[in-house]
Amino acid sequence: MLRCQRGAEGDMATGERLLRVRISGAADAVRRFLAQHPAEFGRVSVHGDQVEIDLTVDEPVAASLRDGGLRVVELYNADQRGRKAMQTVGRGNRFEGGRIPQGLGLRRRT
Amino acid sequence: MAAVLQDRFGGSVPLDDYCNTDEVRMACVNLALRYPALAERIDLPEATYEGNPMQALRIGAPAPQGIKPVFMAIGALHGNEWGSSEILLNLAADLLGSYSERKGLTYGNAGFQYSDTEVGDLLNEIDFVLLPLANPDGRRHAQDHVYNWRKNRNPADRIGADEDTVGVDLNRNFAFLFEFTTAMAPGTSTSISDQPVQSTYRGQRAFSEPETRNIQWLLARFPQTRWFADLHCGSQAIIHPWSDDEIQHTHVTMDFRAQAHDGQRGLPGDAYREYVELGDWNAMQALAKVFADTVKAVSDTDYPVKQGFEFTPSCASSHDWVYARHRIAQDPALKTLAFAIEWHAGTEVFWHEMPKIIEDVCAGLIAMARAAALSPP
Repeated sequence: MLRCQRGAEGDMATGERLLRVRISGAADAVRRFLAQHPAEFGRVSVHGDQVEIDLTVDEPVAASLRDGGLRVVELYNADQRGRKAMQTVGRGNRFEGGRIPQGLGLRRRT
Repeated sequence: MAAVLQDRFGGSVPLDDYCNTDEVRMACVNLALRYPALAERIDLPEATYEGNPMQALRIGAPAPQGIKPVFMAIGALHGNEWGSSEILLNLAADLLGSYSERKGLTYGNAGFQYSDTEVGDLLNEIDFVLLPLANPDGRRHAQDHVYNWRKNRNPADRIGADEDTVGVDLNRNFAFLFEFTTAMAPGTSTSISDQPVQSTYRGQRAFSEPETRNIQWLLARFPQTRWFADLHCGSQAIIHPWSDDEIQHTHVTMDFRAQAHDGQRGLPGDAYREYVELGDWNAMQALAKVFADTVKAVSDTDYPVKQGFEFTPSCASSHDWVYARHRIAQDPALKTLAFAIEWHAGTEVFWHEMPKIIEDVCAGLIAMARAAALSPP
């Protein structure tokens, strides 16, 4: 089972990390994997009967993919990035008092 | 970027971090209050499971000649895709500020510009309806507890103490091939699940969730919606229907409604291909290319134009259902050209990466809307 819902602390019980990986290999083999693990994947690149996809998986799944003959390249540690991203969420309410967000495109009079 | 983000108008706040759920809601409320002649706050009828209200904004100049076509955009249907809310809030602030202050808009280091006249003409021709936060409960949970929480927080299908079984993937809860186990060919690697533990869990039935019913309501409230974009992240591309199979333009009855084709969908290279009118296909490709070309001009960033079905199928997503409505109802007046815009290749995005993305996507959406306004479907 591909479980991708992870806490800020990662999986403390097992120490497993969640990884963003690039999987490549025979299209049929990748489809078989996705049929068993109905996850949403990101970038896709198809070259004939070879395919390359980006996907978030935990370490055991990444290992099983390698054992199954697929190439797996770790792009980044999703847990680490996710934890850091959580630290960039605003606290309180910056729009109290009727304030509005400032548009990035409003720069000059044309 | 700090210089760009400085407060220039008094009473406006630079977005220097992600907004929390309360901030997104209050930003919508305040934008409508600040620009009453141009913006209308729309309170959606249903609160979420955790009791959060949902708000949309209608933005456009008053229409003395009656109803204008609508370009609708929604964001953050997945709890972990935070930046979509900030993109739409920024788009709202830009459009409203530009129109009311008669200032043009400039995006990216290359200085891609829309003049005040171009923005004015756009808001005179069409209305935008923006729903910046389509999954408040999921966003709150992702920002406070589980950074990659994708689903909403409905516990109806929770199994024991297993937290992973909470929630429904809202972008698998729309009425387009929802019964995927019968609609799709056996063994297809369809990106949807009927198992609550999965992050792509579809829910018990189409529109089982208040968030998706609110989107359904919003489209019913604005039947003149001609274009729809659902903002996501994860692959950096602009995507249009269909997502269940390859497409064809000749066999009208070979489509998602035909039970005779159940069990055939989702396999590349076989006889089944989903019908799409050639004119719609060309229009969706053309509008998507406008978006992609604009972003390329703004920041030299590539957004490939793709059909939803690429390598593997998907079902029950928003953009397929929104486009499918006119065929489901057999009412051409409901035709809405629909897109999913995936604005980043990953799902864990640092805030410091967002300003560039916000400028890219806002510039692209305005270009799309301008092109769309010239030739409504």
